[in-house]
Amino acid sequence: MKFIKDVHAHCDLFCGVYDPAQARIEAQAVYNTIHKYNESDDEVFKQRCVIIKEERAQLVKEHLWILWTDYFKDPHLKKYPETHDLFWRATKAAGEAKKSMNQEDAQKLIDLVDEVGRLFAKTKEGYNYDAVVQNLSA
Amino acid sequence: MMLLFKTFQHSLNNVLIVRRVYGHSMEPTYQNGRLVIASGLLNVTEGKIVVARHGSREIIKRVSLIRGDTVKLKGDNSSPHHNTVIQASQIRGVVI
Repeated sequence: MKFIKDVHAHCDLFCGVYDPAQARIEAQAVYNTIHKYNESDDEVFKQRCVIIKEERAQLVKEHLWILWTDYFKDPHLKKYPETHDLFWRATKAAGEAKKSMNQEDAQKLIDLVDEVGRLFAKTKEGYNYDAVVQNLSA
Repeated sequence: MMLLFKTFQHSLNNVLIVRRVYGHSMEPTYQNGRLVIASGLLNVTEGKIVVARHGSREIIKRVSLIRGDTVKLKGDNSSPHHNTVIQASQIRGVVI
C-alpha cells in the first residue's frame, strides 16, 4: 500500500495536448509545398500547391495561437518575457508565408516555430523539441 | 493498539491529506510529482485549489465557480473549455 497516494492533474477531456510539434509539422508542409511548386511545370498542380500551402500556413497560425493563449500563463511570461514578441513574430511569419511562394519566407517561419518549440521545451520538463525537429528532417 | 492507530489515521485523513500530483494540468502552479497537503477543515471558495474524488480516483483542480452544491473546476494548464463539474460533497480538502 502506498503511503502517499497520487492525485490526478488531468483534464476531463485530453491533457497534455499542447505541443509545438503540430505547428512545426504544418510549417514544414508549407516549406515542402513551396519547393514542389517551384519544381513543377504543371499549372494545375501548381494551383493545388498554392491552395494547400495557404491551408497549412493557416494551421500554423492556429496552432501557435492555441499555445500562446491557452498554454502560456503569467508565470511563464514573467520568466520568459520574450514570449509575446516571439509569438507575434511567428504568427506574422505564418501570415507572410500564406501569401508568398518564396522558400525563404517558409524557412523564416520554420525558424520562428523552432524558437517557439525551444521556449516551450524550457517550460515543460522532459519535453524534447529537438527530437521533433530531427524526426521531420529525417 | 492497531485499532487505535487505524482510528487515529482515519481521523487524521479527514484533517490533512498528503498527495503526489500526477499529470501536468496544474502547471505551472504544481509540477508533475510535487507533493501537496490538503485540509478538509478549510472553506472551499472560488480560486482555491482542491483535492476531490472523481470516479475511482482523486483529482486536483482550481475552483472556478461555485453555485449551490455544484462546483466547477479547471486546471491551471488547461484550455478554458476543459472544465470538470462536481458536487461539493466530492471535495476532500483545500490545498494548503
